[in-house]
Amino acid sequence: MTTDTLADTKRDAIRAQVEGAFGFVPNVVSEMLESPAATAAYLAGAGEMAEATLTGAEQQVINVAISRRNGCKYCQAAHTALAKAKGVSPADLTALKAGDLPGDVELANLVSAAELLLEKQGHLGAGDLKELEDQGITREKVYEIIALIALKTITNWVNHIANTKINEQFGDA
Amino acid sequence: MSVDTDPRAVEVMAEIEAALGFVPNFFRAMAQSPAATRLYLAGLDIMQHSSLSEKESQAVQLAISAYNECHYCGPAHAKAAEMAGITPDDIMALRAGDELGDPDLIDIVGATRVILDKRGWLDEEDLRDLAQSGIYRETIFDIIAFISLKTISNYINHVEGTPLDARFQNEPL
Repeated sequence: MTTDTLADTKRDAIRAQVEGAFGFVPNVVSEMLESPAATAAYLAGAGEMAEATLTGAEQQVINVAISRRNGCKYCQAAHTALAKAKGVSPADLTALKAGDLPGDVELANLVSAAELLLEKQGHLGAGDLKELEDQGITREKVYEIIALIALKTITNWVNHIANTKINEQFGDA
Repeated sequence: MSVDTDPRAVEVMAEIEAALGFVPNFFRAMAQSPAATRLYLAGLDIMQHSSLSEKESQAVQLAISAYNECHYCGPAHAKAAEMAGITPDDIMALRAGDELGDPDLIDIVGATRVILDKRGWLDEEDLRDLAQSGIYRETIFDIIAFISLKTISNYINHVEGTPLDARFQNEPL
């Protein structure tokens, strides 16, 4: 078997896995599949986040905020749809889309924490950490947010390069 | 609860010790989030099968860590880089952000620096330039996956101010 057909077999397996999970293959996955390794790393990483202490709704809200800051419209739409499915209120999603903080205080604190990490590129000082701790954002949660920033680096940047078309399945998100 | 008493952290650190022979300070810090740790380990494992050779992978990771000014990751990666066949001069050049001597690494490291500088916003001209040096989307997305993984280690080390392990300090580089 040549390297190409081996890679193609891998691509087919990943497509089947994603379709099984989502009911369709999002365009970002089709683009990302130029590299089966990067796609597999992303999917494995996203899978590990199911065991995180941040809830699914919290993670999706953070993903929307990161993607907005990175200027990825595709990921904003995708994660807004996922956040909606996790029960995040339409008002909070509208606020996020406008770059405002959600009304839900805990979500707002998490979004602020993600924005701070992005702005300072991880260089948080003792004062920042104390402030987060006081809001109930433990070191564990800080590192989970960093993991989400890492995962979104893959999809956001791949979409910058591929100029990925937004799937109609995401609705008017 | 500390990483020595949290059973989830104890478990993940035992896996790291089994794999590496010891638990580097960075992994101890990251173990505060078992989910982030597993995501990082799964990603690194998968990226062993990317389109990049081991030497290229090590060079790319060192270039990213230098770009992100990670005080810990440079020395920690130096040994692996040396074992992968990168010359001491090029390891220094990677850590200083300078030009490399090894023709195998010049283009891939140049691509990594462009992707980081542009935060993923490569235009048609950038893509054409990269294609001329034989770097296509699969490799570009692989580099982005490494940038993602290094975001985790670089940012966590920023937050933690991780002290360099004694065994890395003995490195002449």
